[in-house]
Amino acid sequence: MNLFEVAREIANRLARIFLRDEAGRRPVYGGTDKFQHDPHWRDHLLFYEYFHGDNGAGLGASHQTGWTGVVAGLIEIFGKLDAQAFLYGGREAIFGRENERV
Amino acid sequence: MFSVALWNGKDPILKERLFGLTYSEGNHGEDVKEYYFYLDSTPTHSYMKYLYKYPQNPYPYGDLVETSRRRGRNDWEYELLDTGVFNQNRYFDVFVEYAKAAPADILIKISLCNRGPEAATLHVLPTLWFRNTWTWWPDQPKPSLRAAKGERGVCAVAASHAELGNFTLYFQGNPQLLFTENETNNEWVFGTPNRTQYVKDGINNYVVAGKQDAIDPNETGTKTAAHYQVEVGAGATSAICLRLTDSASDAPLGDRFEEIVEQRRREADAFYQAITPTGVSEDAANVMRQALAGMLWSKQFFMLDADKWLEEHGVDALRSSNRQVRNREWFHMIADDVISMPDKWEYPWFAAWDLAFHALALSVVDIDFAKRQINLLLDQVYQNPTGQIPAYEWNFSDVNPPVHAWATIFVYRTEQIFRGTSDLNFLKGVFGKLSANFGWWVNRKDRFGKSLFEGGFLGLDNIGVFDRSAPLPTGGYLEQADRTAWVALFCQNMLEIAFEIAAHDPVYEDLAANYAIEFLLIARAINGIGPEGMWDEEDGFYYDVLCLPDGSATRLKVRSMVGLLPLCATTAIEKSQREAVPRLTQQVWERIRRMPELLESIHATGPGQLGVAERGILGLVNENRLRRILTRMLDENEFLSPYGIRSLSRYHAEHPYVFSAGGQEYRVGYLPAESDTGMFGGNSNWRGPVWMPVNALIIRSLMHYFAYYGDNFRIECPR
Repeated sequence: MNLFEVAREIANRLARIFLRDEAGRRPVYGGTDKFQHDPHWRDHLLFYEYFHGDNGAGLGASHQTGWTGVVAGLIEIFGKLDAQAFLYGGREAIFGRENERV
Repeated sequence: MFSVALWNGKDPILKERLFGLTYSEGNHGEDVKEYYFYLDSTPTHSYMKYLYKYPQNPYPYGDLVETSRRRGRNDWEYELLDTGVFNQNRYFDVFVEYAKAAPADILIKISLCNRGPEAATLHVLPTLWFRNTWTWWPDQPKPSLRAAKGERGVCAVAASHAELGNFTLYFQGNPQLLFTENETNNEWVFGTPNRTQYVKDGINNYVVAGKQDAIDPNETGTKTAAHYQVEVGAGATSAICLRLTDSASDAPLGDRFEEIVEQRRREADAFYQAITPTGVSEDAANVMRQALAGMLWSKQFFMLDADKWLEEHGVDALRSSNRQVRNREWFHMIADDVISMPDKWEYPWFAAWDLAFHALALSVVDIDFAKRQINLLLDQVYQNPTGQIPAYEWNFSDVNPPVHAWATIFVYRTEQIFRGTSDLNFLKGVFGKLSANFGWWVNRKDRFGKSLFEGGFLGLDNIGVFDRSAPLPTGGYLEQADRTAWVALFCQNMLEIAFEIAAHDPVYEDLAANYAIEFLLIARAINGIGPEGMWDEEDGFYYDVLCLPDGSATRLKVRSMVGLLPLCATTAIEKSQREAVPRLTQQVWERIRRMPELLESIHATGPGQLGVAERGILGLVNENRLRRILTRMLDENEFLSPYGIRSLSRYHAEHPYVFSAGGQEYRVGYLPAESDTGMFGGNSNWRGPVWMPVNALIIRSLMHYFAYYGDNFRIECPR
């Protein structure tokens, strides 16, 4: 991989903490069945302080959207950016909105 | 202030606030034991939505405290779901929505959904109160609340406050209005006489215990609630509508009400749709929206007059005294602001480096607020005259990683491209104050003038072999790889800011040149070879160095985030950035040429070493070391987890690092979940888990390296 692809791979893994996997489970909720299956719980997200190093389960403070909220920025940036645009458009490609991408 | 209190008719107290265990009650430190969700918010707060899950059976206050007490550091936390109180779904989903008709005209809709198998009754007490200022500042006018009749007999409370003006809160239906004073119940708390018969728990005592004399029959006070009792059928939903407004209206809760709420809801949908790239899946878009909603909900008014606080603790800041009281050198501080908080329950105070990361995320939705948050701690009523930025309330003198300059340049660029304007005044203001802060770092934290930054707490709580905020058991001192890396990154960010300003104002050219040299000195220090350097050629990794009183030094070979951070001090420099300041570029290069030895250890840079699109680069780590560090970082048996980069290499699961000193053994093993010690409150753990902020920094640095290398640097991932 080039380093853009490595960066995107790490960002995708971070986002995966909160996303449903193939089995419909969100790693952030670990073994808590209610959060994994109940329709009144499963799409409500908690942004924990830190995450289990092997399985991604949320740990520590449970509403620390604070800096864990940075995941929103990562989803946004990698959702709009492709490597070539970044390499030749530079910073504009990162900070611009999708429709203004250079 | 406005909030919604609830009662299931069985609890011993109203649910007026979220319940949690304190630091000493929880087996992993303090922890909120409730389920609540910040579901939505626009940056203007024109629409907000919140969800709280309230059990119909008695809330297990005692069980949570008792069971947690019996659990140890190696046990899981005892969560509310574990108590069984949500079995058979015997709970209410209480949704609270706020929709603004105008900046000071707020529609409030409370929806009660009974998720249980039987009809159940819920007491709902929308509560309005004033923060108690009159006890503290008796000379200022006291605000008031009183029962009123709105147009056409709508039930209402009139609120009057000298600064805020006059508001009316309208209530749907005909609930009983309960009034008391927002005064501490001294008799109950301290055993001392009350200032008034009507105290802040008066409404609780009236509703729960039926104490008729707990509320003021004159229907006036500084705290009021409307008492609704609602029976909701199994699976059914009931709603209560309210409106808090500064303007008169014929039918405040009339037909238009639902229309306005719906309109604001649709605008929120449109807003998030507009900022979400089309390539983002529906599920990821929901994550993004709730993350940003959570950040917007976590703004909080924070007030602290440090001088007054010290006075109350018996300290006169200007007279010497032997009394040890924290924050005595911060008597100049007066916080009186809305601040983006880490977690309103567990961390309801600002933290300097957290706030810089918050600004990055908030810039996705509200650039102006992000800029204000960056400026906040640099204001003269926060920043210390020494240049230090206050760390957090329980010890302003602690040290957080210096990431303000990075946040500054990030938010500046976001605005530049989003709005097409370059806010140089913002940049200049921040640059001046951060120069003072940089000076503080260099002068206070570098004990031998070697540009190696030692000692002290620096985030990452328990990551080290020793408690980094306490004296070492071995004596001597610690040269920390991450600290040096943080300052190197700070230095690069300052250089980039100075370049940006110098393109418009040549006065800044000298300052910029100084930061360039400063960076080279720091790089030289961390990269030294031999016993003093932090780079271990054999392992291909950076380690902290323990310098003992006898003059010897030893590397502490823990493979942790500390050793990855030197990677983060990397900045690619665009050709256009150099061309905007040709004289400065020339000047920097001249100075470097006179000290070629400084260039030996950093990433190759300067003429003849340009990357893709003629970019230059400043980096602590050269290409060879970059590859060696990444080899470990991208190894799934070391740092790369399925969910991001770990704070400690998994290598230490089988190979814990052990250091013996003074007859005691210090051990660092891989610990992917919660902390097994009480170090730093016991609720944080940097010995294995994934932490978002440092991952963001690593991603940033990889993007800068990529901008330089393009496809000319490739590596296997995962390894």
